[in-house]
Amino acid sequence: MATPTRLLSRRTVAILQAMLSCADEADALEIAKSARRRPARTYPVLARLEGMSWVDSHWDTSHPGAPRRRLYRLTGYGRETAQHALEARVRIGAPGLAGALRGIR
Amino acid sequence: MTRWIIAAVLLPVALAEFGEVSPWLARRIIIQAVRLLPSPRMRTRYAEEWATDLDRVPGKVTKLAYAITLLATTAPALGRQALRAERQAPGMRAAYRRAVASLDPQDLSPESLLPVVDIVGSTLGFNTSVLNLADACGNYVCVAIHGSAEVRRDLEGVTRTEQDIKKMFARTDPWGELRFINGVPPGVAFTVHIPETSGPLDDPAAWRPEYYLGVPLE
Repeated sequence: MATPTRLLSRRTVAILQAMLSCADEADALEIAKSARRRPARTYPVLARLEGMSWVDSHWDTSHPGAPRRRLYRLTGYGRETAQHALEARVRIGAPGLAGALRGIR
Repeated sequence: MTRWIIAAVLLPVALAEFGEVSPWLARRIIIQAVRLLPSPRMRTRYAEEWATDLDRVPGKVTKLAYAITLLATTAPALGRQALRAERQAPGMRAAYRRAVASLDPQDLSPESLLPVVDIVGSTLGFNTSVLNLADACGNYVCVAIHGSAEVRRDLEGVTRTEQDIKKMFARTDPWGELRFINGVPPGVAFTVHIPETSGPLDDPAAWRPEYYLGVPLE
């Protein structure tokens, strides 16, 4: 399976792992907490993953009257690609996803 | 002595005041952070998202630290990412043209066509891209696919008649070299893969799951 050969940081790896393990969708604060990263540093990673179509997002409108949260979730393509990449990373012992992505091409 | 007394009285007052002012200051800082974003669309989105998330960050001083990080690192990083994507767009189009130009008309095997759909998919940022080839009977067979296993299962080897292809392209809007297709029209037998979405699309300008782009290659 072809995957984008972008350099993905450890922060991105942590966020992907958190998204793979958490519920269907979550907001940036929940993802940051799960990934043990600072919330404000999570937004650029999520934006980049969204640009790569690994993640999509939408406003949570299930609580009318309350401030809307932006919810993120892995797309089918993103989940599949992230799982492949993380498995390959464990297999080849690379420090980041960059090595993993090279390994599965 | 007087100095110690002043410090003992003023310092707690100053700290308490700082704690009270922090949430207000955090909101002001977020307004400044949003102004650093390059497009109105980003500014609208993150103004609301960060304001909502700020309310959920616990602690008064923590709110301030969150807002300062948004201003100092997050907003500039998002801005740089957006500008980089904008700069890369012409390069991506050129990469696509090079991939199409490098095709050998004598060897249109799925293996030789795969780089084209991969470039469209991974470089241009589409989840799914497919390439259909006309066979000897004039039918179009889906021969190369970039996308998930689910997409490949749905579309691999799918055949469409020339008539249906013409009906599809008869109602498209030109987007430069591309054609914008607003879903499959009624009465046209055209197998497509419509990705699932996580919720209602509240932005009328959003790309919808049934939309796609086509490009006739001669």
